[in-house]
Amino acid sequence: MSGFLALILILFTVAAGMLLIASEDWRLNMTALLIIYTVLFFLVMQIWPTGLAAIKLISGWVAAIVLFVPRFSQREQPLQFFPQPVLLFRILSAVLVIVVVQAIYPAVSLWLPVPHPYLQVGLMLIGLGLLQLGISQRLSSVLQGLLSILAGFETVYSTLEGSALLAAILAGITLAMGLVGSFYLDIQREDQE
Amino acid sequence: MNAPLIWIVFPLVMAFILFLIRRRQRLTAAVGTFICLFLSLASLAVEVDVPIKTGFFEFTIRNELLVLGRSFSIAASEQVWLAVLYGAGAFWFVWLLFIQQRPIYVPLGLAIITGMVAAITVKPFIYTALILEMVTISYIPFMASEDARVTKGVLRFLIYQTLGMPLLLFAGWLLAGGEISPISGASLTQSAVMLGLGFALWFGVFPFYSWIPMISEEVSPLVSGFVFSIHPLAVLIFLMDFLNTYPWLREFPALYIAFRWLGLIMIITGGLWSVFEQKAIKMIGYGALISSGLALLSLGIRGEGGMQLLTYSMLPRMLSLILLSCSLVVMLKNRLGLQIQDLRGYLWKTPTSSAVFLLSLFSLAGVPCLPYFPFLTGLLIELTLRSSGLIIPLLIGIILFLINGYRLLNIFFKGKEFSEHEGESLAVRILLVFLLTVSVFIGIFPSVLQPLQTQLLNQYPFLL
Repeated sequence: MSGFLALILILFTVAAGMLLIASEDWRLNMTALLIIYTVLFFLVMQIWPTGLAAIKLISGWVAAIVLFVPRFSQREQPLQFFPQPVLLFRILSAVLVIVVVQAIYPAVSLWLPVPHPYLQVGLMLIGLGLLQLGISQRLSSVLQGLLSILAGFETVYSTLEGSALLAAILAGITLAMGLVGSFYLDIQREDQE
Repeated sequence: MNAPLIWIVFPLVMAFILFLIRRRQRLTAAVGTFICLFLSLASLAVEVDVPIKTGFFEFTIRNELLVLGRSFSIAASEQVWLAVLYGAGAFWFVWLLFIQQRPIYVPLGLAIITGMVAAITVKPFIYTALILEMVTISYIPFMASEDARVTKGVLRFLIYQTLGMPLLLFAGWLLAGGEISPISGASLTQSAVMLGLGFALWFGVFPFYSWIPMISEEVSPLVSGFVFSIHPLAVLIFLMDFLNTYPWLREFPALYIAFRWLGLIMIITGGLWSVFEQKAIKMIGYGALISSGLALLSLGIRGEGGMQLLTYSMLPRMLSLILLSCSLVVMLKNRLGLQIQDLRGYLWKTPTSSAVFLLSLFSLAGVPCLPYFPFLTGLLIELTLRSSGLIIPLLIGIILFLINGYRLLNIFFKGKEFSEHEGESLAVRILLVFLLTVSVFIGIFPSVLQPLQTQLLNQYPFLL
């Protein structure tokens, strides 16, 4: 993979991860997840057949959209971000995670023979997902965090092993998480209304 | 004919059909129980890859089903696991004939058990981690509350299980590399750490077991009991497969020490918390903690002795948790938040379920004539021979749990405020007494489990 493409993909991952952490608006969160799965597709496409890599793209996109389907019927509102101090804390925490990932990925690559862009993107998604899990107990945030972690794991693991069954089960997990999350988020939203 | 078609595809299809008719709870419970019983008995009676003659027909049940380049294969030695899992399913579903619960339990429960079977039969076995993660997601609707809310405990369970999966897959990949070239000391340490961490997250080992008491408080005891008895079993099978497959992992000295000490910590903390617990419903969580701790401790005793104890403990553990949760459901009905002090005199109000509840607690504490007694005596003998320093902490945990049982016994006996029996139908009483009799029988004659043990042990020749 060319260095330029790798850089672009890493930058997109950083942007999507930051968006996921900083925003509580479903439209932005959905966009962030769509970007993450697009990055995952471009990375996996370099080493897997395009058809198999497309499974990741489609399942990820479907999961991201299905997760937020209950919100589609909501009245249009201006974009929502966290209050300024919370936003600052979240952005700084995310920056810290990204810095830590940049510091540790060369060491990780010594025992996990994964090409650098894959490791950087994967570890970033895992780190930002963990951060999301750590700072919120809301179902939607937890599911977004878990999807981010799974996407990070898929990025790294796809370089180690590639099989149709692996792709199918991981796609199943992603879809199932989106479906289950969507169902319960819908119920919670109805309760709130 | 194909074994995975019979034991995986067929029950999965049936689970879907039962889901469609889920409103008819008794029918789904009856069909679910029958299917599980049939599959359990069939797995004991039918031999795969051996020609079977029935009158004019002769057919062979092949052991393998290829799916996307990998296989689901049920070897003869693995059939005993199928018997255990589907047998447990039958024990659970039969209760739903008599106890009103959410209609989704039987179809989802059957799908979960089938998922477990698929997980332990997939080859290469590393795919087990992925299938178990799929099963974990099925637990969410299974454990969601009456008003369809995902509680904090369930969410934590989902998080821990999802975090465990990548760790186990990475550990598996690192260890599999050792089959091609010799594995270095550093790689072995890394893979052992990842395996340990992943397994701890999945099994609910200290300090990742907070979801166990939380779930036991938030969901119906029938559901939490099902999860606590079925889920750790599949995780244990996965771990034993790991240890049996990779010799360099078995030779890692710190692993068995960690199993022993983590098991002990679970037993002690489970016992300690139970003594101070004020909610009856959480006893099932502490019971699960203690039994998981005991399983881990026996796994930590390397060799045949430990494995014999572990395989013996599986059925008593299942029986104790079934009795504990079912008696709790009958006793508490919909008053799940009932404090222990409110259970004053319950032995007169719901005599059978109260007695069974107390006896199940005492069973987990290893009281004589109950199924955990032979296990605990065996464990103490093994520890005396190998690492006697662990006996005192083990006894502290067990005695604490025993004190908790005595405390509850005292409260249940106090006062005779209820003049009439409440809510124990004859069928429920018969079922409770029947299961209790089976438990006592196993406690007095533990050798009845010997054939099952032998079959289980045969699967793990390198762990003996």
